[in-house]
Amino acid sequence: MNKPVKISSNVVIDYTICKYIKPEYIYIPLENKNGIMYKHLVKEGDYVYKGQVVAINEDINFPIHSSVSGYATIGSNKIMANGKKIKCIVIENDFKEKYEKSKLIVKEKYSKEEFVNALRENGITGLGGSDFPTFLKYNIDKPKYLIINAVECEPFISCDKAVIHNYSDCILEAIDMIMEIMNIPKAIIGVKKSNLDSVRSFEKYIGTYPKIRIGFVKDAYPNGWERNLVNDLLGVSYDKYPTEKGIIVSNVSTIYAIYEMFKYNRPLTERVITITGPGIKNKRNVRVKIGAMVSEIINNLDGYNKLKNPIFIAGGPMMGNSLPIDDVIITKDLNAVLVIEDNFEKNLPCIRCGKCIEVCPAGIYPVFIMNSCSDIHKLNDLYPNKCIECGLCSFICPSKIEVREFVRMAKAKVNDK
Amino acid sequence: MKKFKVRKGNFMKSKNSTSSMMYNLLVCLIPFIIFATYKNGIYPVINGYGNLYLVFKPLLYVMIASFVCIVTEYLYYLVIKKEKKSINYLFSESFAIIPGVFIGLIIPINTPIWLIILGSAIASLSKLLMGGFGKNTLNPALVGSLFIIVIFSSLTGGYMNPLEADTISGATPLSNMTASSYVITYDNLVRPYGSLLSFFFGNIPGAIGETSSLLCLLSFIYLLLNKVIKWRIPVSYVSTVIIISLIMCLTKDIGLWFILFNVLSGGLLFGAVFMATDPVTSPISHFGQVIAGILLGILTMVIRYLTSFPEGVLISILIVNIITIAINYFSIKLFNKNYIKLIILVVSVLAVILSSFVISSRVSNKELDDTYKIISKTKEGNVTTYQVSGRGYAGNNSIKLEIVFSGNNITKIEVISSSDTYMNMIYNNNYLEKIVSNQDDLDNLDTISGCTYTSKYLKEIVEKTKEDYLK
Repeated sequence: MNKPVKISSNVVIDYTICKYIKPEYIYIPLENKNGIMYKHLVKEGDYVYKGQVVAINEDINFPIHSSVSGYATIGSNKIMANGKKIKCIVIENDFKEKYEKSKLIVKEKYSKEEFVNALRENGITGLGGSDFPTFLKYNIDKPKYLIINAVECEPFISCDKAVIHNYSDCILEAIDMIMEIMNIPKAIIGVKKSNLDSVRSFEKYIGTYPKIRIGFVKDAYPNGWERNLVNDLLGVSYDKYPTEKGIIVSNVSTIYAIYEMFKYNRPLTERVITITGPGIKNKRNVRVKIGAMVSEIINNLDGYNKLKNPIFIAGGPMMGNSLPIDDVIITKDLNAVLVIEDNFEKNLPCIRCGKCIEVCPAGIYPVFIMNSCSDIHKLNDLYPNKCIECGLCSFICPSKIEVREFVRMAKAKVNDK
Repeated sequence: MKKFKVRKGNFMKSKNSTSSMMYNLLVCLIPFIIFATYKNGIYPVINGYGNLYLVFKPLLYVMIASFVCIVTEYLYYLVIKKEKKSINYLFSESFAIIPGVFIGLIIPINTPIWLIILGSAIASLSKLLMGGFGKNTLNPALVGSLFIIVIFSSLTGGYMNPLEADTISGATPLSNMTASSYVITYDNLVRPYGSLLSFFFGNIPGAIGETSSLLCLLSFIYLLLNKVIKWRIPVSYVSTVIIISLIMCLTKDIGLWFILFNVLSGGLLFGAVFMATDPVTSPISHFGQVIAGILLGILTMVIRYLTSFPEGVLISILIVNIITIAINYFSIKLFNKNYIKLIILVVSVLAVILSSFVISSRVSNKELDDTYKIISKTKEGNVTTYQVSGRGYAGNNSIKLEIVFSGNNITKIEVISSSDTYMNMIYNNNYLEKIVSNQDDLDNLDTISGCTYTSKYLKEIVEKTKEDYLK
């Protein structure tokens, strides 16, 4: 495996979480970033309670909930974090936060089946950015390890760190409960070596839980990638999903969402996102309603700094997408919004230095893929679909070529065929 | 709602850039230019050989070569492509200066300036005709300097500065070895140049700036720390050379100094660190880099010992530049096929071992058998005329002499034929007459500096003929 690369940002942000949970409108896109369609269940003009299922993925029976109460309309197209314009359900917030009555019963004990079912019913997905329904992960027999991904390796993003800083006790409690329900013998929290704040927060309470330990990974990118994390902590490599080897990997924010599900029996309607970058006046981790507009939140955080050539990124600087407007829906997988100076540099010809091969965590040859983009036979030999789009090849390239975009193209070509 | 510009790609870039890589290389070359100035200029001038012009010669060569490269590139774009390129483009985007600096360092010190201009222009053109910076298959500096060396090889003594030409006999260590028919003895190969330490510091005849192994090692470390070069190539290159020489040492009972001799001579380290690792013309994948290094090692040793070219580094790098196309192609084909890679690695290691046995059959660790031969002997009264042949600088039987005795004395020596390139110096020094006049005391007759071997061999032939005559 190749050596990960150390990348650091010098933007300092404090870990207290401020709240902005009173958006005027909520937008619920009917397609997620992986292209999975949702069927809407509400009609125009219906009154929607908070926590009510408004749309559903019929294949796996996975719901999306409204995060406010109010009257629904359907049809407005809004931009999502991946840059696509998607048809949305729009709910006008009446600020009453009305729940359906049946939702208010808190369960004391879960069996494994009930737990998996609760994860599904409460719409909990991976908050690290995959938007992968969590209940699918937990639906395995005899798990051996629970790994909590608290690495958050992309520069600038700090929402997981903020969650750890504020709720480390809740997270540990939730881990312990999950272990008991699922009968998992061991849990490891993967933390960056340099991330002293998170380590300290966990160490305050971890003494109570003998089965949970902290595992350290190197301070490098992309060590938060599931495959790297599992390999670093356990020395195990797997084929497609870690569940093959009886390992469940969950993001720490997801664990906190599970904690809230345990405590209040309510669906996932809020998350913490990082709003930062030199272009933002007040750089904060904000707790927001899922479905709110980023522009509304930024306006509430004193707005923008003046930059020469600002660029608006949904996600981190390595894997995020640049978007044309700041009217972006906050979905469950959006963990950060960045406004930075565009550092675009004129690119030079490829000098075949091979640095992209050296850094590629997936172990593929980005430069060869780039040069044989037109030749589908060559591409088949090079496995571009192993690419995780971490962007390290574009980062390291001395000629400033956007290598990843070529690999993406190749990936699409190979997948199409 | 606020609007933003959209761009594809990632939004963080590392600090390393192509220009910093290239200028790191140039920074590494500055000590070489300084050393070349010392070795080829200051040192001989202090010792009274040559004038002040000599001091600035290395720097001048580098500057001329780089200037010509830049001008050639500018004119190429202006005349052929009809584009006017800015100076900034030539320096920071196409790096026109790099081949020039390298050419200035890897050519012989006595190269005429018109040849440098021609060679640099050819180097630059070779790069441009293959598509410009980043697309060239062959290292432009190598093309240019090999052009110069091939033309210039007819003029002897080209590698030496005036001081060396006057004090050290023969030529560069490797051409000395070729000339002495691969007799591998410490006295033969290393002693004429002092010790292996002078090989290490670079005080030996060779191209202007490539002789110092110490500077090469230091630059290797610098470039490695700055992540500029593909380190696998020099490492596998040098280790292959070490393994081949080790096997030669073991099979032919040669001292282990021979390994260092092979590594430190012929500009091998300079070639390995600077020329073989040129990012554009060397293999991209790690496996390809290792294979290229092994190939380079084998080729260099084969060229040194099995062909008539004494120096093998530059030619083998150029050959591997061409093979790189194939290496890159197979790197794609062999992606993820580790067992085939392993087989290829084993085969190439076997090739290393096999080639080292073949090469070691060429060398010996003893002085050559006497090749002295009497071709004819005619007696007419008091006068006896011998026609003899013997070992010369250019090899066995490369000198044919006619020696005339009358009474007990030699009266005349005449060279019938000789392929020795140093024979002119013999004539110029009237050395044959000197032998005749000092015939009773040949041991104390000094050899001519600058052609020690030729004069030594001449003396040997004459002495042997005399012994035969007196019998």
